[in-house]
Amino acid sequence: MHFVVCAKQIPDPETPPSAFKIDEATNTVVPAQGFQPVLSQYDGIAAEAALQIKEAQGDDAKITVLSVGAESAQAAIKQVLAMGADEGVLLQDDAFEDGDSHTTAKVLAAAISNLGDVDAVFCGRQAADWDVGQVGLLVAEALGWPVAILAKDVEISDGSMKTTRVLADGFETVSQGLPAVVTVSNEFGEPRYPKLQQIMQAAKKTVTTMTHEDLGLDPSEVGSSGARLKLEKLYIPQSDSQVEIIEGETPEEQATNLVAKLVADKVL
Amino acid sequence: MVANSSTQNNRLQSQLIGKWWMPAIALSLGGLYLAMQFSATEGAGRESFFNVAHPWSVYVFMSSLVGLLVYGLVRHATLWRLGKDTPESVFANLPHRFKNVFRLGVAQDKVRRDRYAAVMHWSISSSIVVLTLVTAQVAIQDDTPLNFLHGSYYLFFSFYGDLFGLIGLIGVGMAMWRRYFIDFSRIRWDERPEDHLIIVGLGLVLLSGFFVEAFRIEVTELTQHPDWAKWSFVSYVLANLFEIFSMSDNQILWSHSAMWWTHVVLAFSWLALIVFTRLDHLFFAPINAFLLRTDSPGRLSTIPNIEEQEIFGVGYVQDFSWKQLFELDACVRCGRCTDVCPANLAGQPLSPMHLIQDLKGHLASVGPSIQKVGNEGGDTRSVSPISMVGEVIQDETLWACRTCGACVQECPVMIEHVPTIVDMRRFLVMDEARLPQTAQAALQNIEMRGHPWSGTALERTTWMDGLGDVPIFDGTQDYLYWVGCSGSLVERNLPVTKAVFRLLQESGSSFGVLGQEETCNGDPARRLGNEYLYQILAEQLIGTFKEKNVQKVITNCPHCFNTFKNEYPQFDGHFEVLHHTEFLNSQLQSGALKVQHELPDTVTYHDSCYLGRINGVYDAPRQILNFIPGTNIQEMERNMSKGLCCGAGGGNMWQEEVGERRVNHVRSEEAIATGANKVVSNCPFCIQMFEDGVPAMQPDEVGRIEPFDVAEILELAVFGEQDSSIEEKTEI
Amino acid sequence: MTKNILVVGEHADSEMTATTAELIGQSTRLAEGGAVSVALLGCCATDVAPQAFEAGAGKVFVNDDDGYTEYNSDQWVTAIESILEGIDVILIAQSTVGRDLAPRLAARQGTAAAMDCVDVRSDSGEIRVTRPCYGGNALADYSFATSPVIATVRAKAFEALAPQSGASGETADLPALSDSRTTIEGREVAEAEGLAITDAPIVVSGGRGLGGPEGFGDVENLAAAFGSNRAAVGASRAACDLGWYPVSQQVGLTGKVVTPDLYVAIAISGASQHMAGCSGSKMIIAINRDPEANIFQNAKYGIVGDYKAVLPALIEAVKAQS
Repeated sequence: MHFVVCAKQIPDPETPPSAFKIDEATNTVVPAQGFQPVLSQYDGIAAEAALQIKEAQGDDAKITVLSVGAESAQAAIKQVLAMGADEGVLLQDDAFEDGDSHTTAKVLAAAISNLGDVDAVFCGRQAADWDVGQVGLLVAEALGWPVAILAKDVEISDGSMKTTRVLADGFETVSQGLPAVVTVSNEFGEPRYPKLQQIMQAAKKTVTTMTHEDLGLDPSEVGSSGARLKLEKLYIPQSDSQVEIIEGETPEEQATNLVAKLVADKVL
Repeated sequence: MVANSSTQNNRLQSQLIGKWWMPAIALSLGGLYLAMQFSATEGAGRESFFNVAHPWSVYVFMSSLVGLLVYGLVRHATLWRLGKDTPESVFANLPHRFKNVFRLGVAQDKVRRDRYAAVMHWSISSSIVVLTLVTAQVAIQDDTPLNFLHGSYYLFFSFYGDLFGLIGLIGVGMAMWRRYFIDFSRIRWDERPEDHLIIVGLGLVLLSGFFVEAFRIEVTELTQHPDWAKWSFVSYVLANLFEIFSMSDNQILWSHSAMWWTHVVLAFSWLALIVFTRLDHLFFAPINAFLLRTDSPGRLSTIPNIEEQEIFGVGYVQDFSWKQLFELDACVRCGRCTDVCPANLAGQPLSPMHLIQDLKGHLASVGPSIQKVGNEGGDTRSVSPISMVGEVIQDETLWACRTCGACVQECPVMIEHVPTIVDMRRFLVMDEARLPQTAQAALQNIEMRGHPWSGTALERTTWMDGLGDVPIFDGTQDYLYWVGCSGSLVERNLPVTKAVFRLLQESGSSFGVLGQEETCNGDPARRLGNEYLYQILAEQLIGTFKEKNVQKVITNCPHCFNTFKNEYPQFDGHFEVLHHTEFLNSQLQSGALKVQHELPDTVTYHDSCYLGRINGVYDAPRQILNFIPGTNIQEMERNMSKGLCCGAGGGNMWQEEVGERRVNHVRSEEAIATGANKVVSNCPFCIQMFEDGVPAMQPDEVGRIEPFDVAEILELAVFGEQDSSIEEKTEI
Repeated sequence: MTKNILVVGEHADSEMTATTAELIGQSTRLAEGGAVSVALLGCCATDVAPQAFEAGAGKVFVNDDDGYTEYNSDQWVTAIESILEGIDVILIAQSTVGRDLAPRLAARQGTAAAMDCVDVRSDSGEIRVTRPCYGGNALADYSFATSPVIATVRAKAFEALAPQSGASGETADLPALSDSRTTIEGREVAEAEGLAITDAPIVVSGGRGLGGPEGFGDVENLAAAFGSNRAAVGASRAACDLGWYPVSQQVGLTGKVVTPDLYVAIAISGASQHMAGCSGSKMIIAINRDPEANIFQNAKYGIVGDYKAVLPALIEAVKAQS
């Protein structure tokens, strides 16, 4: 079987708020000093799901990591390779830049078609930068495959995929025929820690790079030209909350003072 | 000049050496003097085997014993040989090694850390050594042309023979008291039949020796030379006691002969226990003292050419060094290591003694097959039916270790548990990638962000707010002030960083900081077992230091201090490293810093493991506190080299504890018990652990003991309360 | 510029969800004379339709087929697609339904969906949306290059209209159940005691600073003091990751997004990922030992102190009040 894991490299989500800056002229996040871009954590979880299935199936399964991004995204691909994926393809092209979920999905779907024999695609529940959560669905639509989102468990056997999905008030188990797409939620569990041997092997692997020409895509349908959503403004919300620290000599006094405030504000 | 903080400790130790050896030597010399004065004894002497048929059979026993010892050694050695080479040559630094043999092996420095055991063990061991020499002299007198056992020396010989026999019996008595009459748990954690055999057997050997002598004296000297007999003072008393039985000479002679044989058989049988029981420490302890590392206990070994290794760390018994395997045999199951282990004290799943014993058992069970398969050129890693790491030694046991070194410090046979544990962690992390989620998160955070504090909202420069111009190190300053990840990224530690900064500034010292360019030096990665990550970080940072021409470093954190000082030289990073307490103390001594304010406080001082026990800096922080008028130090029961870990060492700062209690709760209780109003330490981890542990143990906020760093206290004393970083703790 | 707007409604136990009413309310403001219609699928949709009219809808599409009751992606997509003729804007709640339906509709309509919006407004006749991103650190405003506009919207982003009782309008049918490539094999409702955390007007949450699972005892007691019919207990991701509290109660970017009237954060540092789950609360109270904790930046009232001392006192004070 052949599985694809979609991996995205993002600005470090753990950048402290004080170091999080936006260039308002370009509507982009200014890379914080001392913070390297990282693999979106949910994609690591998706990779873990694919790896567990591969392990359950034995050696005849293969995992290819795809990433749309800049040269630096090689690091994200290598990270998934170190976890145990087999091959990596970086979809890198100036024409792919400044796209939206739709164009990203278009590029990924083209690459998946290009691979030819893919049985299942694993995506993170959302990218931890834009927090959108569409790409998996859009890849599925582009390929005409069924999709299950927010999976906390995935099994693949006998040509079908069975997923347990996280709902607002519980879980649902669904099954779909292959090929299919799944987006994996954090409830699945943490990604594995790579073995050093695999880190070394991953370092030696070559990541293939593909452009719009390799994928047979027209530059006008990808990147900023193909985007359907236009980012008008990216900004840091102004916090208008001025905290009032409740004073008091003892905890009891603090508690009484707080409750008095809540009553005055008609919350209680 | 920076005060040498380790001198006091050395002094204490040399006093101890004097304490126990002097009385024995004085007594013996006194006896010799008296014997010389007793001039009328020119003819004193005896016929060695006057009443024994076939005394040559002793030599049969002796050859059998030697044969057994050789057999035992070969049997052990075949197992040790399964191990790999040691990281450092055991023949490097020979003078140091011989000093260790004398200090730790012969003088038994470590044994003396428990006073009762010190007297007991010295009594027994000195008696065995002296009585063996006594016996040897009889043999030499009898079977060689040498003739010296007569006259004054014979009387002296009789005297010290009895003296050390008696000392031996006192030791045996003390051992039996502890084993059979009082509740003394640590020696019963792994009690085996051989333990009774050894102690009761030795008692019988010594008693039978006295009986033999007493029977001999009764028929010979008692009537012929009563003044000689008195020199064998124990047997003399015994012989006089026997008089009440009014035995005939023949009966006495028969009893003597029977008792002689009993004594010889018992003595040789007992000596044969060396081969089969923990008595082998008689040889292994001094040898292990010789093999003991001569560098710092704060240094873990490197894995050279790590990228070319096939296996990382130790996952199979044959991956240990032969010295690590040898150590397993040296263990005497005394339980001292487990008795001081912070994890064990908190009811967590680690007992260093059982760990060593379990490894020893595993080696004995699979070693011979591994050797056989190895000789046949087979795959030795598939020999063991159970996995050493995971089954023989469970994962959580390895993770519970704080690398605090208390076990290593206490071990009377010089076993180094910590490197052995970390070697197995290396296997878990790098080879198996099997580690607790929280430890994994810390390691991944180090990889991704260069610090272990996942989720921090602070930046490396946040602490600089409000301090004006903070000089950035550019190679022109004398010192690099190394703030460290905790000092800059953990809220509680910022006031400490500020305090050190302001004190450095006040002292007029020339220093700078790296600010955003600081990154983890690798210590947590190394202690958690990711040697690969450690090496990458260490090499990078050494490169940065060299590029910036760093020569001297002052660290906030004892862990950074240890790594820079003891571990960076392994990667050709040689810097002069000082912990802030050492530097600040030197500034107080020289007058560059002046204490202006009185602080009426009773404080207790907590030695962090990596500053105290592992690097021997006990005095500098205490001296700083002593500089402050009004401040008294109330020591905790466990202090200095016996100090108890806060619970955070060895990467446990980032792990969830498994077990009955938390180590920081135990240590907080000990701090609270002093009645002090502040618990002062020198380490960002310790302070965090107290901040967490104290409220748990002392829920009432009124009168609660407050955790501080030495630098925070000194800042108060230098700048006054109005003007200190400490205030930020209570204000918003 | 008039816009025809479709709200994909949700309902349970014959009650239309509050968010659906909010979306209808905002639709009436955005439509500028255009039609506001609502699609209701599944059991008893017809019975629920009056509620949609009362909330401001002009037209309601229904299909009562029980096969629609549980959301099945393919079937819902096919059904909704069939009524998009002339629709300019589609609004869906950011829910189990919206997360799945919106992108798929967008793909099929050759347009885009904006997910998890906190605002959808008309800017000189053009729809603009605002949505949080970067773990709650930033907000992004978007316009659409394609039509129709599709957006999923957070609960309580908008005010519903005051119910116009007795209002009615046109009702039309949604198509019959189609085939689906997805077989639903089972559903399991997570054990949640008392009030659902997303519905409770008061949420009391505990974090890593509690020091252990036992700390949640006090947190639960405070919630009980507020009243079990009003308050629910939440937890930070750190606390859930450590296994101190069920993941079903996790508040934050990857947990539940809650918008109560009062959110009490106890021993929670207030990382942006946590704030992403509770910043829509009307009022936040923070109790934390660390005066520098980020949570105080977002709180209206704060108590600096150890929760072990503060909570028992607060529980007593709250009980004394009620």
